[in-house]
Amino acid sequence: MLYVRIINLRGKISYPLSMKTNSEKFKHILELTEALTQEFLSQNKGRNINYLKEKIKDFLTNPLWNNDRLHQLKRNIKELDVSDDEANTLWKAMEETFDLGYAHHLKSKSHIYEGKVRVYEKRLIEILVDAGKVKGQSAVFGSIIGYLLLHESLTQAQLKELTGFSKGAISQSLKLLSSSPAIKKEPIEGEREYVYALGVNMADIANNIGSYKSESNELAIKFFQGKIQELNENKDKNGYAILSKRVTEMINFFEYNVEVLEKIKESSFIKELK
Amino acid sequence: MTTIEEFDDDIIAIEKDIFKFLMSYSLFIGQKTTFTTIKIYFITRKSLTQEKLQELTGFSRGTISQELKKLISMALIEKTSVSNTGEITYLMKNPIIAYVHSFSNLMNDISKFAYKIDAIKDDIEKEKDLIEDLHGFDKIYQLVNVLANSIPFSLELVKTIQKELALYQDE
Repeated sequence: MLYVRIINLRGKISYPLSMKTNSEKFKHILELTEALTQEFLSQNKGRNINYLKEKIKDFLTNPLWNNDRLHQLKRNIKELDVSDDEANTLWKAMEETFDLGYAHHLKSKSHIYEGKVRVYEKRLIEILVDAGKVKGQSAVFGSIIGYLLLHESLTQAQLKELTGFSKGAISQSLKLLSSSPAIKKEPIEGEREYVYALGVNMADIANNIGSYKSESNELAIKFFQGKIQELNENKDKNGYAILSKRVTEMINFFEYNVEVLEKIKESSFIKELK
Repeated sequence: MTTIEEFDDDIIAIEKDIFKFLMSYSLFIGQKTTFTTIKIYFITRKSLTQEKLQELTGFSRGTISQELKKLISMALIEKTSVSNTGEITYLMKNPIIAYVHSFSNLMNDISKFAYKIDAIKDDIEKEKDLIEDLHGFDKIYQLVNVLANSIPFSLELVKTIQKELALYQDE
């Protein structure tokens, strides 16, 4: 129908001067524009033309309207030939579908928790930061670990948003953390960002609060045995007697710790926990 | 009076490695640097005077005397002798004392942590019906429970270790 009107209108249009050079190329478009304008004005008496301008501009430039499915939707609704009442019901049902989809998206994607849960999240992070401080960890460090425990994986930007620390502070801590197996750093496909995740799960971390692992004892034994060897090359030096005695005492102590840990692993309270 | 033995350079180099290792040792982390530094020198040197500590650490006399007081009150070191010029020698009998002490600290830390986790767990349980459908609730609830469940384990672990350490010290 529109096309027919345009044929009829052809020849009536006088183009603005600036368009002269491209007049042949744009001719058809401008004829369509003229037709739309006439139609709009005849159907909406007294309506400001700016309204149409804005709508058309959005329609032409916003990529949202390039979606084929959207045009299909419009066609299908038209074909249904619904009454006003039905149209209202349909729109309500469509709105519910929008909202449900959005809620689902939030649940699966967002790193921002809802309402009161955020208050508890903050409180939990504070507790973990305090526990970390006792072990000599900085607040930035503790917060990052805490948020990763809750969210599993996060980007640097998300960590900044959640913790409130500066980009520099976060990147410095992440660099430190990334060098240990405690944290995994993976590139996001097609982006220049990385996603960070803990290399261990919640239960592992929780069980390490005691920070008394057999690996740390074994590491200490190995270290001090190395030092004994070095000391033995300096038997005639001042200080040898005291230091080697002290180091030997420490080795004995760490060996004893390993034994104690073995004993604990076999004890009933550990077995009950598992 | 006990004479404080001077260490030769080769021995000092080895001592420096040990110092660095112990400074980053998990049980020693978290206390004030001045405190840990002096504690570690007692581990390596056994007997020390304020003057010798000043030479080793570069800390002020005030800081050193303050940390020594703390170490004495915690029974990590003891006064052994006073020279005729009034200089006191302090002694850490064996290096194990320092570790055992750190364990009792750990016990306190875990208890404090346990108290806070139990409190947040109670509050969440009270509000559970109102907030359990909110995004993120599951994660918070899970972590709080994992932490709460780990506490009896950690406390029992530290308690057992302390008992064993007491036996070791007595031997």
